[in-house]
Amino acid sequence: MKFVDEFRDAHLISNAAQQIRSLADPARIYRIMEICGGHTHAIFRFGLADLLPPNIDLIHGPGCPVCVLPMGRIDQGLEMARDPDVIFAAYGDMMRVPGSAGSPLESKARGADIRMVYSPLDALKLARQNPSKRVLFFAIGFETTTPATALTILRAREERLTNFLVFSNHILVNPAIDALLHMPDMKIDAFIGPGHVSTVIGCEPYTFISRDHGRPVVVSGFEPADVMQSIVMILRQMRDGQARVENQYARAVPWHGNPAARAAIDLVFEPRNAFDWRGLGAIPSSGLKLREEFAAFDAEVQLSAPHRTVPDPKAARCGDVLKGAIKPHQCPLFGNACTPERPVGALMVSSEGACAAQHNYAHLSVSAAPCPK
Amino acid sequence: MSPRTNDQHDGCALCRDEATRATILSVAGRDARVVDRLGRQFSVPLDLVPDAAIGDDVLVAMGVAIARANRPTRPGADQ
Repeated sequence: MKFVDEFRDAHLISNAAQQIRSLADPARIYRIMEICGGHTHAIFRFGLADLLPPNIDLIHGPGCPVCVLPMGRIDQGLEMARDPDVIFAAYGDMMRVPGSAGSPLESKARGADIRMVYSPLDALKLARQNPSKRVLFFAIGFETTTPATALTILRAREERLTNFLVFSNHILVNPAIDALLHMPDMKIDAFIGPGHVSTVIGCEPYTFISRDHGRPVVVSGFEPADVMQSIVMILRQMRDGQARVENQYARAVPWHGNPAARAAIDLVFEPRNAFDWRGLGAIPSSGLKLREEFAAFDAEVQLSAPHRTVPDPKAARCGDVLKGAIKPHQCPLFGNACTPERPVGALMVSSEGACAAQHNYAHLSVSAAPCPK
Repeated sequence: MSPRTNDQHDGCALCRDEATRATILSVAGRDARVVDRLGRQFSVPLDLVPDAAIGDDVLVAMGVAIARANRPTRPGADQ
């Protein structure tokens, strides 16, 4: 398949693996975090960790918006959906995500009008088709998905629709990275930067990571050759004592991102003072809410549902996994109390979460292997 | 309604930071008819990629074109 096969070429990937082995100093450990769940998925799906020397430790980051969404937000959205005049629309990936009183799918089974959509524009269509109902779109995701929500709200305003509402759970990548970098026992040496988020925000916003924290960042594509090449680029920087932002994924990511998409986001949304992340706690300026001029579309303004805080389970050590302090299987709940079928901790919720990915793809082999110290 | 995914249909599109590459076939107003790598056709708004034209590749996330995509000449040429 064009633009896919050439980035899965075994010879190319073997060459990158050889370069990595040459560049890696056997006397040290390299802890490289891939921020994005897409990279985590590629690393496990294609077995890339098996191609790396043992002193390269890939740490799977918080770039999985379903995983880090606090249960209280799901509870609040489903509380809004209990109104018989409300149609609750959400992406299919949200349907099985558990709140403290069950998932959207379980709410549907109990009688709530829950619809699965592929795009916020599908939710807008539902609003047009159901003028006597209020359609509530459960918006979630990083800067890749926020432009679609912003554009949909702008179209709703153009059409003067009065029955379309958005419950915003949009979050931002960089405040989470900043929070990780300020954690005292953080052990990350370098970052594989998110690919499609960067098509919107560009590469420049990551410079604080290299400039202020001395960590290299390489924005990467999602195919196996992309990820391996990004590791080569990181190791070259570290060998040369450098820390800068590089763009491996230039076929999709312009250095300055997409100004039109950012303008749409900025027009509709503004940062919240703080937003809770499962596993990481409250992070300042990390979530987006609708601006006051779009209050007519803001579910948190138009629908009354109490804000709920559901604390993370104390025994789950999601935060330590995210910081690289422990590997997923070192959490006492991994694979017994906490499984993909019945997740307790945030990182087991979606298949891109660090714990779910390890459980699904590498449970036995990784659990049996010693952890880098 | 746009297809939710490209060739990687397992897992969570949200967490995978997914965007699908598609080529613009025609433009009508602010919307374009596009075709993805699997030959599926669907419509997407072009509001956020206003300079995209017929024949260009775009990345589609959640039913909206969010970026223009260059065509790579060869793996490794991205650096």
